[in-house]
Amino acid sequence: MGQALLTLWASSVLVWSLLLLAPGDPARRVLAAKNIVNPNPLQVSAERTKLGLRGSPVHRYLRWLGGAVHGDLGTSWVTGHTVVHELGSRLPATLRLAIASFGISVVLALLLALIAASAPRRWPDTLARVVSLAFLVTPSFLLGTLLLDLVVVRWGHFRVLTTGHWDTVLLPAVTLSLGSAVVWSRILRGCLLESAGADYLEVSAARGAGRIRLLLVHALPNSAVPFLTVMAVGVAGLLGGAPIVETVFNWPGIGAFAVQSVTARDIPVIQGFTLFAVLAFVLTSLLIDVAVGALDPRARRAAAAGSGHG
Amino acid sequence: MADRIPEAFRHRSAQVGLGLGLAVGAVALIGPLLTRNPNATDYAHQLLSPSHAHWLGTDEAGRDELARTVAGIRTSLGAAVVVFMLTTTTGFVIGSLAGYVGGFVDAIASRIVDVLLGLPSLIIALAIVGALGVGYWHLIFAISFSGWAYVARIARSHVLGSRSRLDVTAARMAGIGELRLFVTHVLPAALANIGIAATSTFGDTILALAGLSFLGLGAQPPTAELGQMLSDSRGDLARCPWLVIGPGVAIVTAVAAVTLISDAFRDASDPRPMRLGRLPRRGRPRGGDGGDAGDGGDGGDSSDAGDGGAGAAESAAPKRNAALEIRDLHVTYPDGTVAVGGIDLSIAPGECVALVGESGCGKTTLARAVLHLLPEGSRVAGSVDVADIDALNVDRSNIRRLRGRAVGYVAQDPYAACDPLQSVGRHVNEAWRAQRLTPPRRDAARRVEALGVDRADDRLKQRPHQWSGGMLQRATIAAANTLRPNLTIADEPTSALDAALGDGVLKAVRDASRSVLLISHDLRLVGQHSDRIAVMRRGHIVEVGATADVIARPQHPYTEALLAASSPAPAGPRAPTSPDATTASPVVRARSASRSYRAPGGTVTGVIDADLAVGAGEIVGVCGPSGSGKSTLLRLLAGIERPDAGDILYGDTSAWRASAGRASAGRASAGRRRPDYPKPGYVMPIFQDPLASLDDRWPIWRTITEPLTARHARGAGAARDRRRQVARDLLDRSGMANVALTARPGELSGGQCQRVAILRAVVAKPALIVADEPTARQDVITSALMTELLREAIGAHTAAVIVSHDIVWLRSLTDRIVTITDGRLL
Repeated sequence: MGQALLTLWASSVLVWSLLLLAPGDPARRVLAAKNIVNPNPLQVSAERTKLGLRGSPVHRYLRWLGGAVHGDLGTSWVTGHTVVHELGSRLPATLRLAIASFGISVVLALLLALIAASAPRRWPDTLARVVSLAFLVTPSFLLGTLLLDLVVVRWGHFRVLTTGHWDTVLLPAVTLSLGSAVVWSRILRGCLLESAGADYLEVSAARGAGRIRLLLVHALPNSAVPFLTVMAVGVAGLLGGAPIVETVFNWPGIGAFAVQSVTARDIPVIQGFTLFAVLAFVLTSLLIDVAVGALDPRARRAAAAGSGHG
Repeated sequence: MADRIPEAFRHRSAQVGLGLGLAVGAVALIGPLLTRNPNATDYAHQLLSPSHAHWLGTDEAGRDELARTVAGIRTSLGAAVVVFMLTTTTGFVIGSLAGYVGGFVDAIASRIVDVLLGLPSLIIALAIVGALGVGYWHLIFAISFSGWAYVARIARSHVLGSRSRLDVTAARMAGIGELRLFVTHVLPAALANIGIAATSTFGDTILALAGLSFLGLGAQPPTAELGQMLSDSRGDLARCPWLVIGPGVAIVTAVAAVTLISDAFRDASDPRPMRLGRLPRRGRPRGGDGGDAGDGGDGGDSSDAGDGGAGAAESAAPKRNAALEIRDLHVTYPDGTVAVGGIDLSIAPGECVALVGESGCGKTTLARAVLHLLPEGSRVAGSVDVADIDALNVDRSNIRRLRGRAVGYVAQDPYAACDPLQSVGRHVNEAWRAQRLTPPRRDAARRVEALGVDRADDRLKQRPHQWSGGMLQRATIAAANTLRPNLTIADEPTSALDAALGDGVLKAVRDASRSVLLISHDLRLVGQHSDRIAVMRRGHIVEVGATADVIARPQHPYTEALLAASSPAPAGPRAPTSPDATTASPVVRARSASRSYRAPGGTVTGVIDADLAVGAGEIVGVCGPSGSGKSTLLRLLAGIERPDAGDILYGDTSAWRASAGRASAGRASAGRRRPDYPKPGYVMPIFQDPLASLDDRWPIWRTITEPLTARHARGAGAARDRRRQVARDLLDRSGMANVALTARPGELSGGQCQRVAILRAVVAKPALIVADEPTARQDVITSALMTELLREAIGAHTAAVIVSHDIVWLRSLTDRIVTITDGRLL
């Protein structure tokens, strides 16, 4: 728990200090965006105050942090609306995409891993592994481009324009899910095979347990713990993949918007988006830690000892 | 692990990866020399489809697509290599420093690494590019920024782990300096592991670079970059689909190559067998084993000559009421090893037959054959009948009649035998469920209570790690006998437990089962619990008969050797120590020494208020059950750990200069501070795990003579040739004349490794030798050899402290024995 807060705080510092790195004067750029090309010093000064660029870095950071906690992440330098408004209006689309992807990933991963582990080194396993490898090395933007520009546009299946709603979520979700699905299935397969070598499986077999029971009742729950841990990394992958997939499919979510903001050097939006992404990731990791603790009491004790040492 | 790499690359997938990688690398290096200028625009020939002139067509500016792809490969790979170097160097330096220096530096560095690892890396890269502005170098920096933390964490844990490595500890005790230890022991292994770990992220780096360039954040036009080329071609892709071929194939190939190669590396470090209960193939055993031609001297005693004294010859008709009937069993493993070469054995109902032999003689294979659990691809011949079921040919529908109902199985390690996530009660009832029956109420509780476990109803709800070893083994015994099988196989049921519990567990096995096949290497122990004994060696039964007969009048020389090794005679009086030994200061002395550890669930007391003095030439044994603190006492005496209270003295001087306030319970950094030895190499260790106590990269001559390279001994002893000579002498004198000087620990057996460790301890001419269960992992015959070597090595003038749980063995070796229970010396 403490670790999570520390991560949040440290990333807020990191994110905010990006502002210091940015060369050029933001005030002039915002004025330029408003078509005031050669501002006089008074205008620049006024704009700087408006943008909150006055004061020492520490002072400004604290002001920004205070604002963030209250839900005020500043104003976009490009559109003039508040960051919260810009992100908030696009968030539901991304959430839909994320949920759909996550579901597809889990199902795919379980399928591929169980197929592979139930007949190791035979043809279903090899096929599953080849398929996994093929999708692992194909980046989402390549896959997405192939799907969209060939399957959709040239061959005319599905719909070209995505709306951000459930009706057009399939192709983007599948594209986004494939990356995590194959990573998870590889790891799950590894875990299943590893626990297949465990003594307690042989002992259960000696009591008469059949292969299916061994796999589902014993191997799978014991593999679930490391699998859940890896899922946390997968969520990071989903978050990171969203900007790319959303750009490819023109999905109106916060990922695509973040990319546009990066190109436009709209720092407040970048800061807000990064902070939000980090928050989401940290929360998910915490949830997974709780789930792992519930499943395996040994992990709970180890975690308590770890945080006790500090 | 590094030596398994060539083996890993024999797999087809790894070779494919290597081939692809070389191809891509070649293209990146010399491709641009062979293709046109990737930046030459030619608007007259835009978007041409593939032809002789342009193998991959042209793009929207008329540039040759093939040339651009090749240039793009060079750009992407080059950038990925830069990122790789940046992250690996930064991560390695910071991680190693943090692990090595420890303290404040480590605390800060670890926090930073944890935070960075806790963030989604692509998002951070996005943010950094946003701040710095788009551009390829900014992108490289951004990706490196989030990447070094992964390497740092691995480097740190590697360096930290090496502090407590046994081979490093032994070298430190011999007087080798910290820097030399780091450079010669820690660094080589660390570099290899870190390199391999970093390689696994290479594929992700390529993808990240390409992905962010696709978004327009990386390479800017007109630079050719694969991701950016894909992005540019999107508008035209519907009409000109060939534009996706170049960049697409290039990316996929490069990432596939890297992934396959790094997978091979990972497999090299972690090969795993796969067992999910497959049916073995039948067939005659392969050549090399013609019936029982094997060992000379076992002649025809593979038949049950001593069976009950009834003298009934092996009749052709099988005994239908026998619990187990094995005839002429041969088992050959898939790799060609003949595990069992012609065995006959029978067990009558109600009988307990002990199968005794060294590890590797085939006992476990026999058990697996009866349970129909041999690995796939094994060849079996002969017959195995349990009750009236043919165990070798049982088909799928009958297998549940065999396992659980006809045969029950008790494993060696109760903790490994129980699914750690399920309650003990479920484990005991497993046989019911596996047979798809509902367990009767309180059935498990009743049976477990009958074996001596009280409050069964409550305790059965607990998980295995909450039970003690002896209790858990009783639960396993109950589990094995749930369905009252005709035969119960107990495979080394007491080996993983303390010696004191052995009798109780064996009694429990007999009480709970109808007939028992008791497998063990301890002749002494099974002698009290079995009706008949069969002695097994290298896949054959060399002697079989009633227990009392075999033990009193062994027929076969091998049986005699086993008996002798199982009950060593107490040590006779040793050469009297020189008269001034008693008046001189003790070699080592513990004075009210205490030490405790912090562990999950509170503090664990290692040793409380220990007082012990060992004089020159004295051999002291320390005996006690597991967890009693004997290893802690040994580490205190050896100077490996620092006492929290009290003192350790070598000769007259205190080992740890008394600095008040420095000792604090549970300080894991005690290994960093060296005690004041009167001379380096004053105390030398022999550890329990011989393989772990030797550096697996070093040839044994180097390990044996490492103490000679300590600063004080340099000069005469340290020259390479001299060292090899010394090592050769020592090896010859300890029965290893046929072992090469350049052999590595991985090529030697456990017993040979332990002998090497003993030689290393001796070469430093220590005043004190400390040995922690030196024969624990060996079978009886090997440990008898070890004892001989130990006795010789210790000699008349060296003091020794030997820890063991086996008091009989200690009596054969030591002058006096002290017992320790719950941290206190009695």
